Amino acid sequence: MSAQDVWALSATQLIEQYQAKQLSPVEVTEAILNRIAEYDGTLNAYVTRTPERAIEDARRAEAAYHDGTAGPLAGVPVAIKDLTPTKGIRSTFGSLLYESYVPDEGTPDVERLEAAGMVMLGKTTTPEFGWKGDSGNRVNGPARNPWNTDLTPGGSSGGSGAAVAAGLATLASGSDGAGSIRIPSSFCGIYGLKPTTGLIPRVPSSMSVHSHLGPMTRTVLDAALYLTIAAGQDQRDRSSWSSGIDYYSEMRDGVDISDLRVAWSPDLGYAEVDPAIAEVVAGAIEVFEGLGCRVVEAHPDAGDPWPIIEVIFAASQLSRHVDDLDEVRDRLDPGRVELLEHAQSFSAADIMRANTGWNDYYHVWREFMRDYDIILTPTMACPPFRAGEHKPDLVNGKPTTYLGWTGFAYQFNLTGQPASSIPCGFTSDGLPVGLQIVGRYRDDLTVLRASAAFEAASPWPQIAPDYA
Amino acid sequence: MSDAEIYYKSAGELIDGYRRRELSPVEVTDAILERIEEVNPQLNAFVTVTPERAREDAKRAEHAYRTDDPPPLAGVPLSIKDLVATKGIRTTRGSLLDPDWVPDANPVFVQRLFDAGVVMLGKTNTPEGGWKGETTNRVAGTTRNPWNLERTPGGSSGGASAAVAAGLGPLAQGGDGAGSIRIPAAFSGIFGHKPSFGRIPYPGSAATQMAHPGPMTRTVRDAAKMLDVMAGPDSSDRFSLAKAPSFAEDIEGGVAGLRVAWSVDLGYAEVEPEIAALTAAAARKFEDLGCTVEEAHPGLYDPWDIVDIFFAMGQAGPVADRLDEVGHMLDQGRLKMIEHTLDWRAVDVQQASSKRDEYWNGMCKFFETYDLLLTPTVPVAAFEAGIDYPQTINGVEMSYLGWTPFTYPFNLTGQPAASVPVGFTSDGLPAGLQIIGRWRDDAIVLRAAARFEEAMPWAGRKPSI
Repeated sequence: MSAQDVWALSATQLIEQYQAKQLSPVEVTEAILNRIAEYDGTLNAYVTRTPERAIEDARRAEAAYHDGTAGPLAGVPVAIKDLTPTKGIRSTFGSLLYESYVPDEGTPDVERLEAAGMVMLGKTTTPEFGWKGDSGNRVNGPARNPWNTDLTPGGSSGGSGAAVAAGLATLASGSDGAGSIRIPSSFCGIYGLKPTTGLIPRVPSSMSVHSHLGPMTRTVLDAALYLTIAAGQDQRDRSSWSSGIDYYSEMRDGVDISDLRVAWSPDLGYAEVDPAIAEVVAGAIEVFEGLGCRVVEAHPDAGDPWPIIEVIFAASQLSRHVDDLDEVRDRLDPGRVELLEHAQSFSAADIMRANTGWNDYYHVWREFMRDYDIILTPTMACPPFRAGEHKPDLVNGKPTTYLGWTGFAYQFNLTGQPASSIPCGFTSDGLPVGLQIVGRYRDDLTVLRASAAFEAASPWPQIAPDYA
Repeated sequence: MSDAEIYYKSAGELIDGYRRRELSPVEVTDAILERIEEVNPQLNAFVTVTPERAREDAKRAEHAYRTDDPPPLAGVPLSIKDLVATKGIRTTRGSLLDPDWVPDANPVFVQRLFDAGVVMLGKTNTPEGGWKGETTNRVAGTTRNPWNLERTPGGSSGGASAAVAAGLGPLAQGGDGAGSIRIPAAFSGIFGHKPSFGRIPYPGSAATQMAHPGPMTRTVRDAAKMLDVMAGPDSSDRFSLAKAPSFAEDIEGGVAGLRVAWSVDLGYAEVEPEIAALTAAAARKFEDLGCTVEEAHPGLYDPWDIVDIFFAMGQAGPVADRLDEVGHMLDQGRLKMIEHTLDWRAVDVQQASSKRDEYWNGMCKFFETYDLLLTPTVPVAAFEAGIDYPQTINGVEMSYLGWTPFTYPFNLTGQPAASVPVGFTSDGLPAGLQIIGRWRDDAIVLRAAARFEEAMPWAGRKPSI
C-alpha cells in the first residue's frame, strides 16, 4: 500500500496506526475529503458534506491520541445516512419537504459514535424517506454504484454503500426497514449488518419495529467495532435493549465456526433468483462446508410474507402525509405517491391482520432456528439495475413488483433476526454479489463470527476497482 | 390459629411458616378452598375453581419443604385470570364464543408460576375479552366487591382483586391493557403492579403492545416475589426484556432523595373531591420518606384517541372478520366498540402509532427531571356492579374508559405503574394512589410502594365478608 492509500484502510487499521503515531487523523481525513471532492460529483453518495466539521473532529482526535484520551473510534471518518436526523447538520430525508431542515436534536447512535471520537464527513444520499431499493431523490438526484456508475448502489442506504465502496468514508451508517442496509451492501460489494431489532436504539422511536439501524463497512471487524459502540438500550427507544456483549473484543483474535449448524436456502421456497446470482452464492456455501460447518439445505415452511410488510411499510409511509397529502403531492417523488395512494386502500383491519401475521411469522422462524445457528441465502436475487429507477424490470426473466424483487430481505425486518450481507463473488459482468447470513433473534455475535470466518476464508476487494 | 388468620396471611408469611413447619401447605389450601366455597357464591370472583388440582399442588409443596431446596413459591395459593390460557383448565375469556375451551399449553409466565410451586386455585372472572373496567360477562355474570357487594371490584382483573381482597389466595395474576390491574387494585383495596412492557414475556401483547401481565397481592413484597418468578426474557416474546436483578431483594432499599412529582389531574382529568383529598394526603407521605415532592405533570394532552385505536384494535382482532356470524354472541357494549374500528383506515393506525411515539417522547423528557410520578389511580371509588362505567365523575358525564384517565397513558408508554391503597372514602370504599416510574425501572416503583406501605400500612383493615 502506498502512503497515499490511507483512505482504503479499515477503521481498526486506522486506529492501530493512530495509536502507534504512524498516521494522523487530520491527514487521513484530508485524504478522504480530497477523494470526496474528486469523485463525489460522479457518485453523488453525499447529499450534505461537512468538511469543516470533519477537520475539527480530526484535530480533536489528534489531540486525544496525544493526551491519551482517544475514544474507541477517535479519528475514524464516518458518513451518516440522511434518514437519520443529525443535530446542527441538514437532514433532508431525501425529501424536498425537508430540503433545508436542520434538526436541533440528534439520535443515540450518532451521539455514541461522536462520543467515541468519530470524524463526521456528512450525510449520505437516500430515496425519499427510504421508500425504495434505489437511492435517487428530488433533492440531489441518484447516487451511483462505484462498480459501474450507470447502475444503482441500491437503497435506501445507497449513498452509504457507494461512499464506503469507493473509499469516500471508512464507515457509514445505514438503516434497514425492508432490506435497506443489505441491498446496497450487496450491490456495492461491502459488508452490512442489520442487527437484531432494537440493539441499536432508534430515535424518534417507533412502535413499528421493522426499521433497524446498523453499520456498513469494508471489514467485518469494523462492523463489530461500530456495533459495540452504537448498541445498547436508550430510554428514548422502547424497543432498545442491551446485550452486554463487546462484539469487537469477542472477534478481535479470530474465530472458529466449525461447531455451527448452518441452514442454506437458495430461494426460501418461493423466491425467483437470477441464475448468475444463484451460481455465485452456491459457491459461497461450499466455503462454509470448508470451514467445518454442517450445512443443510432447509428453509421454514412460511411462505412469502410480502403481504404483511406491504401493508405495514406502505401505511407507515403514508402516515407522514396523512393530513396534507394533497398539499404536498407535487413535491413528492411520483413513484412514492403511487405507493401512498395504494396505501390509502388499506383498512385498520388490514393492519391488524398484518400485525397478527407478523407475530405468527416470527414464531415460524423461531421454531425453525431451534435447529440452526445461522441460515444462508442470497442477499439479492439480481445484480444492480439502472441508477434512479425504482426496481429491476425482471428477475429470472419474470416481471417484478414494488419490493417483491428483494425476496430475501424484508423477511428479517419482520422477524427482527440479525442479518448481514457479505461479498461472496462477482457476476460475469464483474458486479458484486452478496451472501446473506441470518442468525437467531438477539444472537448478533454468531452472525458476526460466521461473517468473519467467511471473510478470512474468502476475502474480497476493499475498494471498487475504478476507485482503487 | 383461626381460619381468618390463615387465609389472610401473605405469601411471605406462608413461606416462612412452611419452612419452619408451623404451617402446612395442605392445611392452608384446605382453609382457602373452604373460604372460596363459602364466599365465592356472593363474590363470584372465580369462574372456575380447581380444588383437586389445588390439593395435589399442596401435597407436592408439602413434600418439597421436606427437601433442601423447595421452589420459591411452593405451597402458595394463587389464581390465574380467565383471559389467560391454562393447560388442561377451562379458559372462557368471559366469552360465549368458546366457553368450554381447554387449552393445551401455558404461556411462559403461567408455566413459571407453576414451576415455582404455587397451588393453583382456579380462574378469576373478567369482562369479555377484558374490554372494560368492570367485571361482568355473559358466561359467569357479575363479580362483586368484598367491601360492598353492591359495587364492582373494578376490571378487567376484577375477579382477581376480589379474590385477593377477600382472602381467597394471597396471589393473583392480573393483566392490564388500559388499567385492568390498577383499576381493580384501587377499587378492592389491594396492591397491583403493571410491570414495564416486556418485563413479563407475553406473546399475546405483540400486535398492539398494550397488554401487560402482572401481580395482584395484599403486600408489596408478595408482588415483588411473584414478579421475580414471572419476569425474564423468553424467545416466545420478541419484546421481552433482559433479566433484571431480584425485585424482592432490591425492595428493601430506601427512597430518600428521589424526586417525586404529584399530579391530581395530569392537567386534564376530572376527579371526585374525596379521592383527590385521600390521594393528595398519601402523596405528601413521600416527603416523610425523604423524597422531594413537587406538584408537576408532563403537560401532555389526554391520549385517549391514541389509546382508543390500539385498545379497540386489540379487541377487534380476533372477531372483526366474522361479526355477522358472532356479533349476537358478544357483549353488546363490546360489539359497539368493535364495530367502531371498522371505519378506521390503516393509515389511522400508523398515525396513531406516530403520535404514540411522540407521547412517549414527552413522557421520557418529564422523567429526566423526576424519578416517580404520583397520581390518583382512578378518579372515583367503586361504582355500581354490572354497569359498564360510572355515569359521572365530579359532576361531568363520562364515556367508556374515559373515566380511567390516569391508567391508560402508561399502557401506551409501557412504563411500570403500581396502585397502592391509601384509605377509604366516607362510604367505606378503598382509594388507590398510582406510582409510575421510568420505563424498565420497576425496582424503584416497588421500593417506593414498599416504603409507603410501611408508612401507611393497609393490611390491618379487612372487608367484613
